[in-house]
Amino acid sequence: MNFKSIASIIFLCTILVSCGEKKASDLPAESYIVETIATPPGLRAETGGIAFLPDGRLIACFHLGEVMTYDPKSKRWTVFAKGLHDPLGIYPISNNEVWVMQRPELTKLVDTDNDGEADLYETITDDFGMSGNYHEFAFGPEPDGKGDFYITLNTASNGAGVRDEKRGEYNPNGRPGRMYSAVPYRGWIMHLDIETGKLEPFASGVRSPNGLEVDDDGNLFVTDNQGDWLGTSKLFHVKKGKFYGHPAGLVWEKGFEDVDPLQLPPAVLNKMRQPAAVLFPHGIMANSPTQPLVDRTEGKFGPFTGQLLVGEMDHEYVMRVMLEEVDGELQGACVALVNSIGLRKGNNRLAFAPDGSLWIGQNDHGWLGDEGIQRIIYTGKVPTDVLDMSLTDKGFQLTFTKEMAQQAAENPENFKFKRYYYKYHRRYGSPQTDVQDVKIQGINYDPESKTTTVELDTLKPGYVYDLEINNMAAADGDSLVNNHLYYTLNRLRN
Amino acid sequence: MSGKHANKLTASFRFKSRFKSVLSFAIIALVFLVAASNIKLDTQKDDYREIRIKAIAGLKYDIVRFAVKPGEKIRIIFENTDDMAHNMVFTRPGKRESVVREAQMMGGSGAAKNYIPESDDVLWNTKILEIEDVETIEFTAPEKEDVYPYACTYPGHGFVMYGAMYVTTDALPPLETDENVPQNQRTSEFQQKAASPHPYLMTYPMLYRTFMPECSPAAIAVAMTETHSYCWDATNCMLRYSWRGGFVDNTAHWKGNGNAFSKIKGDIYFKRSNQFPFSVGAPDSVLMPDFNGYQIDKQGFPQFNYTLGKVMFREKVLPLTEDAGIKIQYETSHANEPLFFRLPQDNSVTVKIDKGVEENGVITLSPDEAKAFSITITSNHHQQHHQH
Repeated sequence: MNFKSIASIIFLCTILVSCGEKKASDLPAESYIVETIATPPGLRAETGGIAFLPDGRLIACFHLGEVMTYDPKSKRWTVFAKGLHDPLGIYPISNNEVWVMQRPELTKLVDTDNDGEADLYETITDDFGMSGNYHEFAFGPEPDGKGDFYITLNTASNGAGVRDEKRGEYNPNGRPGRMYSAVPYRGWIMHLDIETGKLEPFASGVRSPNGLEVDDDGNLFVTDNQGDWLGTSKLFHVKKGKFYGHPAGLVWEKGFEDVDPLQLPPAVLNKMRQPAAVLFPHGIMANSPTQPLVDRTEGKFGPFTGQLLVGEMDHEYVMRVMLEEVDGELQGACVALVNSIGLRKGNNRLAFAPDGSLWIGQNDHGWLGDEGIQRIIYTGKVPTDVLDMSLTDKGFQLTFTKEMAQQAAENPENFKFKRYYYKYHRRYGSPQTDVQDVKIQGINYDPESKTTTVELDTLKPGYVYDLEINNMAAADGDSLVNNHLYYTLNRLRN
Repeated sequence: MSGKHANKLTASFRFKSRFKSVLSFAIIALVFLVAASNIKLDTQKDDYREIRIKAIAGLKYDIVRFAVKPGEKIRIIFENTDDMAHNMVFTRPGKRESVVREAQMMGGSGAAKNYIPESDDVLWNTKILEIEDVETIEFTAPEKEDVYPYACTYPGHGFVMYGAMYVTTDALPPLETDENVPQNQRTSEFQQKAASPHPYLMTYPMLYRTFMPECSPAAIAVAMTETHSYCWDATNCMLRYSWRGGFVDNTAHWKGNGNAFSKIKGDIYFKRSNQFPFSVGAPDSVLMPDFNGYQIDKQGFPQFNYTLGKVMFREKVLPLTEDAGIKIQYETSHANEPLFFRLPQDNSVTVKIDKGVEENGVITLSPDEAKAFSITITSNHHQQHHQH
């Protein structure tokens, strides 16, 4: 069944359901609907990676080591490979070959005899350390757009120690702390040169980088999880040689070999580190962000083409990120994409199907989440939403997806701004700090550009600007879908 | 996570449920006996009859049928011991498959409703329970004698995960031919059979990359047969130990954060340290090997590939007849200098190599001999734990 036929069935159902209360319109009631993909009996669907093969089949890897394909037409699952160790990323090369990031290595899986199942498990790189600590996950691979790849290496957790036998050099200076890096290059983003086969350190200072994405301009984005040294979860725009704040991995930085990173004064670390492009306020926006993915569907998935979607473990939604360049650096806002439409938790992996629906692999992995696979389908009804949030000299511009009701869109009572920051320290997480309401000085709405421009009392770099929009509706009467946005203000417009 | 509250409320049942595995046969026997003899054996404080049922691995209930009397008050204590989410839904006679199908159709909205379709055919149900959750439901058995199915309506489960409540005062039909019970559970021993943790049957040879004891963290556990296995170290590129009696139990390793080792099932009969046994050029060369992966052959055996300097190794481990030991077949290429192999120091095995010259526990292989050679490791002890 293709997208159109599914959409039309859903459309009909929606009309049938809604005709009791409302006059049937030309459009379905919801902009997005969720469909659950039945996974085969016996599969523990803790999903570590999903992607689409050139022939349109889904390929997915799971916690118990299976790699399976799913044909959306026949709804049949087939085993492609077995026996992997906690595979958490998958990248298809062809219908017969996929690359899988598993705990010990990046592996090329090839079905060389065309019987449908991989028989060659070739190591692409295993040139990184393993202490045997359970928290040393490995993520990726993500193509850099130039033929090479990035992977990320999780830090270890003091929830467990290290094994007697390890792989790679052991540095005791990397052992203290809640999350630690006692073997190379834990807490690093790595770059794999395909021609030489060399895995080189690229950037440091991440804690749990469970998601990486390169956009069409070659920008690398990596998510990281609230915890020690992370007051809240983050999206980093990662650049070569930079440090992103979690100090454990610094033991593998040239010149830092004999330094216990925890003995470095936080003020020094604070100067060294790069800010996140986007902060996901903990608890209210995200507890555990996962994979970012650029919407490249050219409208098949709705009006957000070019923006980043980011999975989230603890909430029943995926997030949407609006980025812009301010003073030479990327920063921006996050918001929920959809909510309360039947999506489960544990939204760990994202992939767009050829039909433009967003497939989501779910995972719990001993933490909060769910298991299984669902997909979000755009029905064609434009959601009433903030399309873009952009910093101005004195405040923000909010561009909506639709023409809004003029009165509501320029009523300052409907826009509630506050600001706060998160502390950078060794402790786990941070409260919202220096929370202050921010007054609106002026507001106007331009129907032609569908844009509300808000002038604020003050704009202070280093703060999250938290915006709650109330009583907002489009000119057609539809109410705003997502009313809570969070803009990370690192830099002001010059 | 809907079952979490139920879990807390019924935490006291957990203590009792520990005895469950011991009691399960007894309970089955009891309910059959009760049904057959019409004698009330349960001594409850109240007048409910308590029946404990578990969801177990492999999409199964541990009890696939039981009998109650018409109008009897029933208390079901349902515990999920599996790693997947399950519920337990009783339906009207003959309505199991249609209810399961309806639940399947609930799609994304199903989870919030515990995959319970709004249907008159659903009689009683638990919520969806996560691992180790327990929920108790109580009801009065129908007056009408019939077979009332129960099933897990979590999408995909209910077509294989079901059972039957007989409301009857008669004896039950033979289990072997009972159509109300899943075919693979129509034997009285079904509870003891190890189910596959995967969506396919366990066939041997098979392997897991996993955490193994006494190995580097990049370990590969390989079962050559159902009863004969070895651990291969992908850091040090060598077989570390082999054992007989079974493969590994990964239940603990796969649970939660994955910190636990795989558990070896059986007895290790050969073991060696993590010192790579080969060197090139000189016996004391300290070159370290580099792991390149493995290829699965037609029989399912992995052939490991690694390099030592310029020398490429291919290594395959095969079982000797009657699991007497193993034969390691080596192939090398690009060996322009002699290859040295240090014999393992383990008195519990006899090691033989089909090529080369031995001196002081070191075998020297010429570049030509090194192209293909094999080492046979035979256990000096007769096998103790052969499974049938």
